[in-house]
Amino acid sequence: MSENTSLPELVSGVNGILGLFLTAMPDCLLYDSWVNEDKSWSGEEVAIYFGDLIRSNREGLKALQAYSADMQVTIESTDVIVVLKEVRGDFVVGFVFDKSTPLGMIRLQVTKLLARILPTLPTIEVEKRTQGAKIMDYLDRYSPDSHAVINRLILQTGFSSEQLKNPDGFKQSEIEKLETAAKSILGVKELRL
Amino acid sequence: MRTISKQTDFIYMADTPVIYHCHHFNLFLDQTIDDALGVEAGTRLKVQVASTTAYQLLSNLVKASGAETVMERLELASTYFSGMGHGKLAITGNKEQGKAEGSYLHYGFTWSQKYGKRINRLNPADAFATGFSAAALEVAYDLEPGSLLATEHECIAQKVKNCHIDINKNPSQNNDYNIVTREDAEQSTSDAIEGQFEETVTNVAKGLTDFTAAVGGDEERGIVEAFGVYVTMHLSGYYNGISYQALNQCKDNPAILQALGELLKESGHVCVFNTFGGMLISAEWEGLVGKPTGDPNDLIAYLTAIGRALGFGKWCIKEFVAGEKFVLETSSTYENAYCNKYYKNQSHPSEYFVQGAALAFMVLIHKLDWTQPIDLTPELYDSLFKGGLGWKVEQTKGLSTNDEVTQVIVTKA
Amino acid sequence: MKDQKLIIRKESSCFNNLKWRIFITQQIPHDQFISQLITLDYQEKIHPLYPKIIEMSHTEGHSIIFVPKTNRIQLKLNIDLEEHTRIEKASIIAQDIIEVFKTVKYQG
Repeated sequence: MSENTSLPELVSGVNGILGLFLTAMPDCLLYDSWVNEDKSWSGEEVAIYFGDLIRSNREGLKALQAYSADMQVTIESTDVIVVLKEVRGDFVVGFVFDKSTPLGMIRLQVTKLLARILPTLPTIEVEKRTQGAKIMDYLDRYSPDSHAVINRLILQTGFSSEQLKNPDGFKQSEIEKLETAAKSILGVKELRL
Repeated sequence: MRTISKQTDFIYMADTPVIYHCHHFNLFLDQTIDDALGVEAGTRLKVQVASTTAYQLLSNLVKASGAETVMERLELASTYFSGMGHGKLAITGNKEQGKAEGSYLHYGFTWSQKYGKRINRLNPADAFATGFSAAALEVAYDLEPGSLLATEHECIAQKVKNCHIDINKNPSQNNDYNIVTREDAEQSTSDAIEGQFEETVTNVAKGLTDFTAAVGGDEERGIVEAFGVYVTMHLSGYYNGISYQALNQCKDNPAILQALGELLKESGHVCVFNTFGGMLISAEWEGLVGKPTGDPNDLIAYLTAIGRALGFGKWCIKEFVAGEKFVLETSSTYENAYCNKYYKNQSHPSEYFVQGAALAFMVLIHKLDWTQPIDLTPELYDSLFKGGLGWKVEQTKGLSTNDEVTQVIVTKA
Repeated sequence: MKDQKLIIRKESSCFNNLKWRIFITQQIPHDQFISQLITLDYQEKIHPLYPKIIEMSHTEGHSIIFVPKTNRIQLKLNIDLEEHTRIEKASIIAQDIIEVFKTVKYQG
C-alpha cells in the first residue's frame, strides 16, 4: 500500500463504517479523520475524547493489574459501535461503525484497516507543552460552564486575564495555585493531564 | 400572600420582596460567591444572609397567618419552603439545637441533575436551605435573628440520598439584620415610566403574572418544573445580600472586583438564555401568547414583559432598533432596592444583572432562528456567549447612583 | 380513518429525557382530545392557563399538555422513571396516543 493512500480510499468498501479518527498522543490532537457525509461530527472534539478514553482505560486496567500494551476499547451505544486502539504509543485510532454491523465483522475490518494505516503514520516529535498550558486546555475541555472559566480562575487565583491567556509564563508556585483552582472547579483530587 | 406592586412590578410574599429565578442562575450565583470568597467564607456568607432574609419572611408569614405554636410555625416554614419550589425540608428542634432533613432541596438536587454526571461536588450545596432551617427554629421559638447557626453535613450533590442539616446555638451572635422591607423597596424607585410597545409588554406581563400565581412546588417533591427549568420563588434579599456583600469584601482588589462584576453580569446571560428563552419556546407560552415568529419587535417586547413578570422591576423599552441598538430603562430594579439602603451613593452604576440581561436579549433576538426548533443546550449557550458576543452593554444611568432611572444601552460591538 | 404521521421529539429542557413533543398533523378538536385520552386512563387536570392549555394526567404519573391553538402536544414523563427507560416509555405512550386518535373525526 502506498504511504499516500488517503483515508477515504482506505475505508472505501468497508461495510458499516461511519467514521475514522487518528489522534496523536499524548496531547490528543487530531491528525486526520474521515466521516461519513451523513454525519456532522467534529473531528477535533472526537479526537480529544478518544485520546482521553484510552488514557483513562489504561489507568483503569493498571489499577486492576490487567494492563497490556495490546488493548482495545469497544464501546456499544444505541446507534454506534466505537473501537479504539492505541498504536505505537503515540497514536490512537478510533473506528466508528453502525450498530447493525456484526461485531465479528467489525474486529476483522479493524485488523485489516490498522495494518494499512500503521505504515502511513509519521513519527511525531512531541513539542514540550508547559504545565500551565496543559491545565488550561484540560479546563477548557472538562470544566462545566467553560464560558466562565477565566473569570472563575481570576477570582480563585488572583491571576490576571492576560496571565491566564498566556499560561506558558507561569512560575512553579503559580502553577501550583492554578492546579489547586482547577481541581476545585472540577471537583477532583488529581488532574490527569 | 403574594402581592404585586402596580408602581414597581415588585413581587412580595407576605410583604417580603421576592423574585423568580431558575436553577441555572441560582447555581451560577452561589458558585460565583464561593469563587470570590473561598468556599468556607462564601458558605458562611450565604448561610448568614439566607438566615437573615428567611427570618424576615417567616416572621412576616407568622404575623399574617397568626401561627402561634412551635409546631404551627415549623409547619408554616416547611409549607412555604416547598411552595416556593425549594424542595422538602422537615425541621425539628428546641431553642438551642435542632436538625433539618431535606429531600429534593433545590440547590443540591439541581446541581446533581446539571453537573453530577460530569464532576464531583466537594462541598454541600444547600446554603439557602441551611440558613432557612436556622431561621425557622428562631422564629418558631421567638428567638432573636442570628441566635442559631446551621451547617449542612450531607448533601444530595455529594451523592447521598438526602440532605442533613444540624442546627446549634450560634457561638458568635451575629446582629447584622440587613433586610429590605416592602417600604424600603418601594421607596428605592422613581416615578414609573413607559416605553415602546408598552401595550404588548403590559398585556403579556399581566398574563404571565396571573399564570405564575398558580405555580408552586409539587406536593411530592416541593420543586417547580416550568419552561424547561426548575424555578424558585426566591428572596431578592438573598441574591442582593450575597452579591453586594461579596462585592464589598472584594473592593480593595480591582482585578478581583472586575472579574466578580463580570460574572454577576454573566448571571444575567445565564438567566435570560435558560429561563426567558425557555419560556419563549414553552407550551405554556404558546398557549398564552402564541409561537414566536422571530419578529425582533415582538421578541424585545416579550423579553421585557418576562422581566417584569418575574419581579425584576418595571423594565421598559426606551429605544429599540433591530440590528442596532437597545436601550432598557427602568424606574425600579430589585438590585437597587438593596443598594439604596446599604450601599448608597455608589461611584458607578452596579446593577449587574440588568446589564447582563439586556445584552442577552439582543443576542437571543439576533443570533437565534426563531422559525426553527430551538434546543437550549449548554453547547448552544457557549456558541452564543463564549467568545465574541457581537454586542456590548454599558450602564449609563443607575438608580444606585441616584439617577432618575436605571438605563443600560446595548449596541453592536 | 386516515393514518396519522407521528413524530416524537425530545423537548428542549433540563430534565433528562422527561419532556417530549408529539407531532400530529391533523388539527385535533379540543373536546375530542379530552374524551379520547380519558379512554386511555387519563384524567383532566385544571391547568392554570385552561382553556388555552389542556392538561391530562395518567394514573402511571405521566401527563400530557395540549395547546389547542397550535395543536402542540407535550408529554411529560414521571420523574421517577429510570433514565435509561425514558426513551422507550415515551415511544410507547406516543404510540398509544396515535392509536386512539385514529378514531377521531377530524375537521377539514
